[in-house]
Amino acid sequence: MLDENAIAEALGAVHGPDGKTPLPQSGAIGGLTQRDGKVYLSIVVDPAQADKAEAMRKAAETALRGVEGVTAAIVTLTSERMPGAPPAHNHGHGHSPAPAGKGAPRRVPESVAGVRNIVAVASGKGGVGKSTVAANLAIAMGQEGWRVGLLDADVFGPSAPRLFGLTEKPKVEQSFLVPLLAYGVKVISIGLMIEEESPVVWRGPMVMSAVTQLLREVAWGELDCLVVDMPPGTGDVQLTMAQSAPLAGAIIVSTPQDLALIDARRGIAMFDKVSIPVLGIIENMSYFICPHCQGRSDIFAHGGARHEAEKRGVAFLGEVPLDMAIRETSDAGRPIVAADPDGAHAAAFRAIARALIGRLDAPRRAAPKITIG
Amino acid sequence: MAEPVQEKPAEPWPTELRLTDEGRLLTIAYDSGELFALPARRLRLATPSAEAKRLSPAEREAQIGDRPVRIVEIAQVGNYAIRPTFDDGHSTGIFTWAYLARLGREAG
Repeated sequence: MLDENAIAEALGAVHGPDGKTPLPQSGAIGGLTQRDGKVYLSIVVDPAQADKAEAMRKAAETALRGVEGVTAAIVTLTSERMPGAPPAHNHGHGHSPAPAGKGAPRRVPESVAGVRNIVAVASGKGGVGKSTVAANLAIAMGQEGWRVGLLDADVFGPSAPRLFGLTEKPKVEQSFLVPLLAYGVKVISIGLMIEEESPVVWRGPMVMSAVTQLLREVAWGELDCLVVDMPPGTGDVQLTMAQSAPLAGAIIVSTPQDLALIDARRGIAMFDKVSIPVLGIIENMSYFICPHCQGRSDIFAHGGARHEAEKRGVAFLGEVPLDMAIRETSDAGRPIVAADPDGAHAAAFRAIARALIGRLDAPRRAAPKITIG
Repeated sequence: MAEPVQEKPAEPWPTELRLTDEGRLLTIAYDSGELFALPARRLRLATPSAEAKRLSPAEREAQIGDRPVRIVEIAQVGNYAIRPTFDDGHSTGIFTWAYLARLGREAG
């Protein structure tokens, strides 16, 4: 444990935001925590003063490093008071509006830097093949010439590592995670950080901070589209997640039977509630072609999702047949679009990818200019 | 976004948003010629965030208290909405152009 008095004393030599009151007395300290010789301090500043505050931030850091026993000191500027401790990672709080100053090099703006579109792939319930669709859609968009990333945010059942056949742990460079490249898609998944068999027990707030990190602390580089594989369902976690990422829109995956469509409807309603446009519905397991007799069976009925989409005034993006090959290639870590790019399934996914690209690229009405001050 | 068939009847589209008075006032001009001045406090009370959906107006009032409310940052969401960050840290409300216009008209 470090000597708190020594820390307070060291900070006393630093002037607060007003330039004269000692920092500890200025009321600007938002949070101070320490662990194993590392000190994390957040200073609350007026966003407008962020530039000027950078000198104060540096001074505080230097002062803390001078305290005996301190091995590292990280000082961040924030515009809000963090309840409790700042996170243990060393830069910013992705979700905080921290105008951490133009001087702070690692500040990531609200929109994920370099990413043009973020699209959530969601489903009202589990088991409809959402992750398989998300993976194949991402690869198909890549084949159409887009630069694509996939963020597996299904923290309860991350499946991207299996789907893409990834086993290595992502590297960290300059405190950013480097996504793994598979089939032309940059992939990051919580599943890459944990063992496949170990169960993940997540409480809501943990999910949020994990997802925020996956979104903002990954070196995505320039992307035309980041596909986010959402956890299934329409609960609080999904809702908060949808709201915390600057989404261009959401895609709902459903199977055609009524029971699944009820949940798909919930999914649409959820996004409606928070004003996120639904870009379209994809019908998965739409029909089954018998590998022996080539006869077609509508196992889960057929066309339900298309009908539902029409009813809700939402675009129908396409249908994907139920096929052994999709299951096999998915489990084998070679998604069908990559494994059999000339096959019927790949064609189905590419048609969907083109429809989606068309929607994302559609000329939009320019958003108005926002002036502050 | 794309297919105009699916769009609801033409909503007014904003031409300019301006945050003034140290973040206490958001002024929006629409192409319909309407001009609304919305206090940050009113926006905070009317947040469409799911977190606040279950709260009654009185509960929302109690949550915010008497203090003045400021908007510290505005993030653009697609081309259809803004997501302001309020000085109490609340930042999950997505305000669409239509919703802002409605709030403006209600204020009269």
